[in-house]
Amino acid sequence: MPAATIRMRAAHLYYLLFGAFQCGTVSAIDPGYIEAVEADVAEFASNEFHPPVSSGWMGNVEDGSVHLMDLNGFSEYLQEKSPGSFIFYKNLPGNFKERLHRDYLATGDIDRVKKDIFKYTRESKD
Amino acid sequence: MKRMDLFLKNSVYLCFFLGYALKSQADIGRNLVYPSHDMEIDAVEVAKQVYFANHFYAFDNFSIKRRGSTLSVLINKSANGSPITTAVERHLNNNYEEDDAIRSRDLAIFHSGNLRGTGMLITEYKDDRKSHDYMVWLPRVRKIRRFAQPRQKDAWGGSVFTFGDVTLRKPDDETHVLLGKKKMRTCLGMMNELEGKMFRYTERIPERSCRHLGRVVYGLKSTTKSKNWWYDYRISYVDTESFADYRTLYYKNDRLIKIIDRDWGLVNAEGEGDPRALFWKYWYGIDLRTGQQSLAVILRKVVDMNSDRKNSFWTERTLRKIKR
Repeated sequence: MPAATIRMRAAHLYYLLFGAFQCGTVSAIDPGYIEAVEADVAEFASNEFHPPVSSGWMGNVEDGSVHLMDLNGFSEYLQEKSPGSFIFYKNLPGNFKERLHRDYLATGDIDRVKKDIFKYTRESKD
Repeated sequence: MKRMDLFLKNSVYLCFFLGYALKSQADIGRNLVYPSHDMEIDAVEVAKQVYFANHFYAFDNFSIKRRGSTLSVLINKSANGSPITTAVERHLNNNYEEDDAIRSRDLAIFHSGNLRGTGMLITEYKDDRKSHDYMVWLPRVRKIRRFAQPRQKDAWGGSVFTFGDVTLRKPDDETHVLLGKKKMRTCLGMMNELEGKMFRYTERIPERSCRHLGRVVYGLKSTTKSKNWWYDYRISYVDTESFADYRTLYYKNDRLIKIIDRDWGLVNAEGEGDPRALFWKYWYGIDLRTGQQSLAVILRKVVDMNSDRKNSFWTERTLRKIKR
């Protein structure tokens, strides 16, 4: 068999395998999400929470997500999402930071938080 | 003819997009009182409060409108398919007098796909024995047609969500048990391949919401009263303060078959007013039997409430004015 034919067959096989893999990736349900949800709901019955190992759905700092319920977690999140706004945010007095944190938890609107950072920066200078 | 029938049927189904308050009971209207903190709350009361929040009874009117090219969207994706998007504008009016026969009116206008230019006006009456009126403006024939109310288990806009999930299911359709309180431990779901990406109509698809981690929630187990229903029971995570239901898990033969996650935003962040005055930010649903996923995204900038619009806006006349 000529070498060119072998190479072509190998290429076809690669594309077929790669295509199937791609297709599988798109269609697959994220098992990490389902595991996390099932571990979460099991706590109602057992009163104990056993988190799945290394899940991106648990909001742990070690896993790359953050604890937004506390101010430090929120500050880290803001630094990551909007480094420009964070420069102004970090110079704000504590009560303004807490207000921004409360506002974010209630609305989930990061754009509004960014606008408020500049508003509070002006207010704190006056 | 079949094509037209399908078109009309889809119009009815999709009109429920971001479905609001259309079916209610005499004791779950706009007058449902927020429970005091010292009150011992039971499962049925929690279910009623969830119903109140999901039907936007805290507002006189509530709009998900068009703002420039920004709109709310419903994205459906089958297990192996590409996402299919429908953009829509919605206006709900709860502001009717005590002696008025109408409880609410809801107007939907579609802005994309085959339904582009289609409008729908849904009227709910205070008399629960009276069925809803569904009037659809069909741009191709430039006429209004009337339709019957869909069934609870019908898929809503071809999505994972059913009409029961979105609007029609009432607290009386199920028996309720409280499973206790605990902290929310996991982030809300999201379509992995779209998360955080630029997207037509919504500017950007939001990232998975982890804001609610650590919030104390009730576990509410609701068992259907219907026989041979598509689920046996469902477990909802309900915020103990706002009564936002962040997550609902559906079970059949004790097997998890479907998940719906809802990200909520509080309208008034200053802590004044009704804690149930909330709006949806996104809905994510996944059917574990088929792998189908659905996502409804509503940006805060397109949400408007308690506007000065007159009740005459929610009439056939507005339907007829929709541009072709």
